[in-house]
Amino acid sequence: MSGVRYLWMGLTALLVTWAWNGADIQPMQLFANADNILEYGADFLPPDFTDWRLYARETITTVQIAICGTFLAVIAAVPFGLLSAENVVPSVIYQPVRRLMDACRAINEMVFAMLFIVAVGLGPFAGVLALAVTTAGTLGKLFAEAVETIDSQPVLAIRATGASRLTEIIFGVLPQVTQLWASYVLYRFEANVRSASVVGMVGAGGIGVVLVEVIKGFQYAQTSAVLIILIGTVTLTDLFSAYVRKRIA
Amino acid sequence: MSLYRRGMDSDAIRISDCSKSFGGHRILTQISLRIESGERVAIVGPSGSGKSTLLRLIAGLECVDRNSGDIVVLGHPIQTRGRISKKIREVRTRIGVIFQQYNLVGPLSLLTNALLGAAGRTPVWRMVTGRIMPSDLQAARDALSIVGLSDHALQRASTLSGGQQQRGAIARVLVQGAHVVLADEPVAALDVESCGRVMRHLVELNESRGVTLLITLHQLDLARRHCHRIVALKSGKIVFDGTPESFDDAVAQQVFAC
Repeated sequence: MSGVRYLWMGLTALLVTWAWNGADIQPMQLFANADNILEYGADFLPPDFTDWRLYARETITTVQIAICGTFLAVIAAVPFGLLSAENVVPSVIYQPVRRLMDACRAINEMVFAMLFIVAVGLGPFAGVLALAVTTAGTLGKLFAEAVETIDSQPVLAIRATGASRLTEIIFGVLPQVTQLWASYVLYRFEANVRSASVVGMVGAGGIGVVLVEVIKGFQYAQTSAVLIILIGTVTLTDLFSAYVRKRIA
Repeated sequence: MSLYRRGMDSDAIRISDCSKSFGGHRILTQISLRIESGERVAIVGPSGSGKSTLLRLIAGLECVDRNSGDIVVLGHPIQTRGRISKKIREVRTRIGVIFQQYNLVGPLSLLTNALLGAAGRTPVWRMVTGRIMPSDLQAARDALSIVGLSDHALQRASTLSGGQQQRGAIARVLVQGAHVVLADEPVAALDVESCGRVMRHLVELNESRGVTLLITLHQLDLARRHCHRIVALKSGKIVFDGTPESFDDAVAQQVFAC
């Protein structure tokens, strides 16, 4: 038994060493250039909030991108979730729908943002579309998993009254999952506020655009101001979402 | 209405030579059974004897084996040789099913659950938009009043006790206006008082509305007290079919002996 354990430890060590070399990790660099780092760090202080109106406006845009992206994703995720649940549709339907959702999730929203910028131009709309596509994939999968855990018996009871398949789903399946779905949507909204600032960095609108400008312009005092606003926004969103999720649970 | 009249003329339920297996394991073997319209029949037998499976076959919720016979309810085929009838939905609107675990939709109100009895005759858009026929809404309120649950109409079904939920399920059947009711161990999960109440409502369905009642029970005294006829199943075969009087202790012992 212990032999197997040593083997696993050895393999893990080998794996990390292999990755370490490939990733060109040089811890000494942190100390060798300590002076530079300290100087660089000092430039961030104190934060410069002179342009706070711009930051606030762009932050609101970021939250708006997250709201719209999540909203559009939910519209797609409801049919996705139902059409990829084993207990609702046969495998000839759920298999292709699942692969489609995999594709939506497999590509990072940054990449989608760059693609949508080509399609619809720079600005928040590209960000909304990028978030909508990836979130539709994630939410669809979560929705389907919720549907697969429902109690099938009430659905059977509705079927026994001679109801149509659609009635079964609307009155038997949906009431059992809406609470969990709502909680997943809020959770994804939280994540989307964070992602919305990142998609901004490739030009898809919001605070990310400002952030990339100040970093590239070596305006570190402004950078720290933007980061503080971003941290505040994300924290507020998380608190809000946690509060609502607790209320509906 | 034509369904009902046809049902009155002939048998309410006719099962001819039906077998059912699950994964090579035989649950029911060549069952043939006729239930007349207006009868109140108990199906008894040890657990695993196939009682519940038989009810599910009659409701068309399961298929009989391919090489076996057919099931006809109210003059309309439910299934033939392992194929569910294409008109099953239409026939199901006349067959009420009551389950051991009540099977109400927990997050929905009791009134909505009762209204689901009308789901078979109401278009989806009407159900979703709440544009229910006034007659159905009235039927649901009346049904809840009959089973003594008017005060709980707007309460979530999941917050009700087992006995209340089962009465809710009976209200659903009342709204459905079923002519045949299949009750699968309807009182097995209930306390004595609720059990008595649910049994009274079921008997009432049969006596005042002429509903044909087929009910599986594991309590023999209930079967003897409430039903006209007892059918006993053992290892998937009918081993007794007769009056409650003739179902004496000796017969019961034979049925339930291992």
